[in-house]
Amino acid sequence: MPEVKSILLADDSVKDVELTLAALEEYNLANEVVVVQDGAEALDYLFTKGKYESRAQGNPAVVLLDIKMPKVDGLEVLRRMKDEASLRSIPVVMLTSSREESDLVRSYQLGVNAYVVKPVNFQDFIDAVKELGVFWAIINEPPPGSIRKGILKTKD
Amino acid sequence: MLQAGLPTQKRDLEQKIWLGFGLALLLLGVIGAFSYRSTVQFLETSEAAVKSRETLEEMSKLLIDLLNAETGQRGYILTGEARYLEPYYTAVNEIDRHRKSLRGLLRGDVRQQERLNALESLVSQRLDDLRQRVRLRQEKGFEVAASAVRQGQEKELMDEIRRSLGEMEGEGYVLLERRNQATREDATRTLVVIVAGGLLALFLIPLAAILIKRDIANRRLLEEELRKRNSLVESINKELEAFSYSVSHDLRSPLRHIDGFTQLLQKGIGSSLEPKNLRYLNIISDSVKQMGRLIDDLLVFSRMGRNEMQKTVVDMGRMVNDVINEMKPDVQGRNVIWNVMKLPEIKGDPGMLKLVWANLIGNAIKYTKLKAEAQIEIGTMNGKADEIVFFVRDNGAGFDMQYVEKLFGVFQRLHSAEEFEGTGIGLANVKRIILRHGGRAWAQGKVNEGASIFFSLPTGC
Repeated sequence: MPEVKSILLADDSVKDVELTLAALEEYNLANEVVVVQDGAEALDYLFTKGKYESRAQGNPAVVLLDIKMPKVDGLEVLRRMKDEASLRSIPVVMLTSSREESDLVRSYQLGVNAYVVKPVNFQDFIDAVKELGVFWAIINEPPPGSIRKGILKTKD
Repeated sequence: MLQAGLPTQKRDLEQKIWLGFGLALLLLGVIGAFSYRSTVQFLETSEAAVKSRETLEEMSKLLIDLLNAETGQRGYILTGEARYLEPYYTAVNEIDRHRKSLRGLLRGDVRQQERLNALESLVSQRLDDLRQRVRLRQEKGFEVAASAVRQGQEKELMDEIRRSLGEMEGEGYVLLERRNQATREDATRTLVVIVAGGLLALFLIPLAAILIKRDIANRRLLEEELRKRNSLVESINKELEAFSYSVSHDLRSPLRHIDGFTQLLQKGIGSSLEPKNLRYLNIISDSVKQMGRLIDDLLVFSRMGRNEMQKTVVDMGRMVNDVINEMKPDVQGRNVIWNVMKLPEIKGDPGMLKLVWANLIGNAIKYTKLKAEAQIEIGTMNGKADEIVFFVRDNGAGFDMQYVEKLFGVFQRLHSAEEFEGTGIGLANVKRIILRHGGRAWAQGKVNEGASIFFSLPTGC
C-alpha cells in the first residue's frame, strides 16, 4: 500500500487554505498537511525551531508555498531552504496567485521544482492540487529523511 | 501639445537665418564681381599703356631714322663716297619696319590710322626726294644734286612730318590719360563696394550667429521640456504597471474564494437543492468565471499598450499555422474547412502579432460554431502601395454593418454572452496592436453569412 508523506502548506489566506485543504481532501491527503500562516512559521517548522522545536523528526515530502505572506515571503523561505544543506533537497512548489514574470524568474532561479498559479476556477484548482498532491505526496519518491506518515486510506 | 509652439517659431528663425546667409552670399557675389571687373580693367589699361609707349617709341625712331637717311644722303651728295650710303639704306629699311610696326600698333583706332596714312604719304614723299637726289649725285654729279637740294622743299616737308607725328603723339597721350582716369574711377568705386559690402557682411555674420545661438537655446529648452515629459510618462507607466498588477492580483483572490466556496456548497448541499436553487449557484460560478476572463483580458489589453515593441522579421505563414494547431482542441469533433493562402514575412512584434492572429482565428472558430460546415479563410490581398493587407474570413454568425463602428470598441459586443461567450476585448486588442505597428484594421460582415476582418501592415517598418 502506498504510504502518504507529509505536506507543508504555507499560506496567509485562511480562505485559500480552506480551499486547498478541501481539494486535498478529495484525495485523502488532507490529514497529512501541516499548515503555517507565514514564512517565519514555515522556517520555524523546517528548522524545528520555536513552537515546532519538539515536533517529530524528518522533512515534509513536499512544501507548498504561497509567495505573498507577511513577515517572511515565499521567495525568502525558498532561498533559505536552498541555502540549507539538510533542507535543500525537499521538493518545493510555489502555489500562488501571482503570475508576474519577475516572481517566476526569481523562483526558478532559486531552484523551485514547480510553479503553479492558483486558478480562479475552483474545479481547475482542485485538479491542480490533486495532481500536485498525488504526485509529490504519493507517487514521487522523496529524498531520504522525509517523514513517513500513515498508509493511504482509500475512500469507500 | 508639446509641438504646438515649435513650428512657427522654428520657421521664423530659420527664415531669418536663411535671409542673413543669402544676403551675405549676395554681398560676396557683388564684391567679387566688382573686384573682377576692376582687375580686368587694370590689366587692359596696363596693356594699353605698354602699347602707347611702344607706339611713341616707334614714332620717335621713325623720325630719327628719317634724319639718319637725310644725313646719309647729304654725306653722299657732298663727298660722293659710297660709305655714306650705308646709313641711308639702313635707315630706309628701318623706316619701313617702323611704318609696319605703327600700322599694327594703331590698329583699331580709326583716327590714328587716318593720321598714319597722311604721315605715310609724307614720309614716302621725303624718301622719294632723298632717293632722287642720290640718283642725281650718282648720275649727274655734285652740282646738279646740290642745286636740287637747294631748290627743294625739304624743310617744309620735315616740318609737316614733325607736326603730324606730334599730333599722333598727342592723341596717344590723351587716350592713355582718359583710360587712366576711367580706371582710377572704377578702382575708387570698387573700393567703396568692398568696404561697404565688407562692413555689411561683418555685421550680418555676427547677427546670424546670434540668431542661430538663440535658436539653439530654444531647442535646448524644448528638448529639456520633452525630456521632462518623457520621464513623467515613464513614471506614470510604472505606476500603471504596479496598479494593474495589484488590481489583477487582488481582484483574483476574492473571485477564487467565491468560486471555490460556491463549488464546495454545491458539493455539500447540491443533492438536496431544488433545481432552481442549484441553478442560482451555477450562475454565481459562471459569473465568477466571466469576471476572471475580464480581468485577464484587461491586463493583456493594458500591457499591450505599454510594452516595448520589438521589430523583427515575422513569418506570418508559420505563425498562422502555429495558432491553428494550438486551437485544434477547440475544433475537435467539428467540421472546419481551413483555407490558408501563402502569407509573406513582415517586420513586427512577434508576441503582439500572435495575439492578433489568435484573436481573429479564435473569433472565426467561435462564431462559426453553429454552422454545420465552418469555412475559415486566411490570406492577403492588394492594398495601398506600401502596405500588405491580411484578412480572416468566416461563414459564421456575421454582424450587422450598421454596428461596424462598435466592432473594435473596448468591451463592445454585438452578440449576447449566451450566444457567444467573450468579453469584447479581443478586437480592441487587435486594433491597438495594429495601430502601434502603423497599420489599419477594418471589417465587413453580413448577419448569418459571415464576417471578414482585415488589417494592414506597412511593408517598410
